[in-house]
Amino acid sequence: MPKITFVERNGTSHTLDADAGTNLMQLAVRNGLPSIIGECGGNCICSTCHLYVDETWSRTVGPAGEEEELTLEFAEARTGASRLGCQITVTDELDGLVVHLPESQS
Amino acid sequence: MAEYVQNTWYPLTWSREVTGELSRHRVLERDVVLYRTAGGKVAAMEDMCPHRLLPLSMGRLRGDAVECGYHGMTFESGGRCVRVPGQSGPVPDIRVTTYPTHENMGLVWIWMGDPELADTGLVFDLPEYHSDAWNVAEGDALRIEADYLSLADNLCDPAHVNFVHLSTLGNEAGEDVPVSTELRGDDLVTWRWINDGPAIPLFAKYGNFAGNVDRWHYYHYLAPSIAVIDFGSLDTGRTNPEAHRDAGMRIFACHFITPVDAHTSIDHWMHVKNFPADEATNKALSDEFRIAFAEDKSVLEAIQINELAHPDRRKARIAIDRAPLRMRRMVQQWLDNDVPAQQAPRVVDMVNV
Repeated sequence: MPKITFVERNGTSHTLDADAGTNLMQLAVRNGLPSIIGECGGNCICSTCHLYVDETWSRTVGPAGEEEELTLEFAEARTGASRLGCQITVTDELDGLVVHLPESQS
Repeated sequence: MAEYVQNTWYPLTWSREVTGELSRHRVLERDVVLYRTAGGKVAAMEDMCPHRLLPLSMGRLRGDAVECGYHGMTFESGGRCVRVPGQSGPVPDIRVTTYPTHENMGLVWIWMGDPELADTGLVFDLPEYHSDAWNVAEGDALRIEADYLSLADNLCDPAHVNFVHLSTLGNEAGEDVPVSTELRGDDLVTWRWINDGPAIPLFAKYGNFAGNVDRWHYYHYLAPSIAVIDFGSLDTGRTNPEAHRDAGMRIFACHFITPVDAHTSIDHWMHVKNFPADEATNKALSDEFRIAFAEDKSVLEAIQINELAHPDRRKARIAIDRAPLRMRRMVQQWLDNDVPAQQAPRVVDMVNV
């Protein structure tokens, strides 16, 4: 079972076991992590699952898709590492992935 | 002033309303006076005399020319001054701005952008409107105190029907059926099918359905202020019901919106349908739609009050918002690059036919 680590802004880190096939938004919401909301239910519409992929993982995770790029325009404090959690599906290849949570999604 | 796409044809009023009398209209925050010339053309000019800025609609028609109601300055339908009472010599080169117009589908369309670009081949048309197999029930010009894009949100949104229009166009079947959306050329299409369910109240009343029906909604958003909703029902059980819509009751609900200003819209609505009806039935149908659209009006006006009171409030975005958000992106692109479309807006019915 792949392990995914979410790091809060204050440094608190949460390492969660993830089922392959789930996505990072679902994983974060099910585990009650702060600042991941998932308003649109994982449809790439709201951008409230915005997070940052740790730079050591950016190549493995890959860039945002076309639709995701448009939706990311709604995200606060977007950077080159920004992705939407709902668009990253957990695979065995992502075992050990580290992502960083934003301050908020407002 | 709000931003508007300029180089496009906007619906302004019903053709039947434009006569040999001056009438005042407002579109894109500009006042326009309209009248029909002796030759039957619709003349449109800025509703303001260049002298003291009195609305020309307060004056009178002299043949095909407009005489200002204050000092009698007179302008022919092309906007050129032809008379200044009280002064002799050549008539000065004073002009009123005029706007190109065109009539189609029982409406007057106006071009508020660069008149050089006003190609009447770009006016919207629904071919079924002109077909003998279809007939038309003209509705009203519904004034809504809401931004036209808020109305356009509603017209990209099949999901509200189950909650807003329970007495007419919706029922509880299919509340959780997801909505699909795609861009077909310049047509943003949002649709869903609710299969093997009871007929909605309207079709239960006017259709002859034996039992359950397959019900469709295709919302076509075609231009800043044009939306056409293809909806209807047919007896359930057909394979590929999409290809058999004409075998059921099928209606194109046309919404031709005049953006009056940032807070007001006028929705000219009409129905083009594949089932004939006598005048009494058409009237009864329009009465049903009148109820439904009044429901939309009350929702949209209440939203606008809250939007104006809470301008910075972030709105939650949920799954059914995909099409409205895409619609607003399309409008932003049109605003950023305000050139005429390559071709007239049209309903792209099916991709693979």
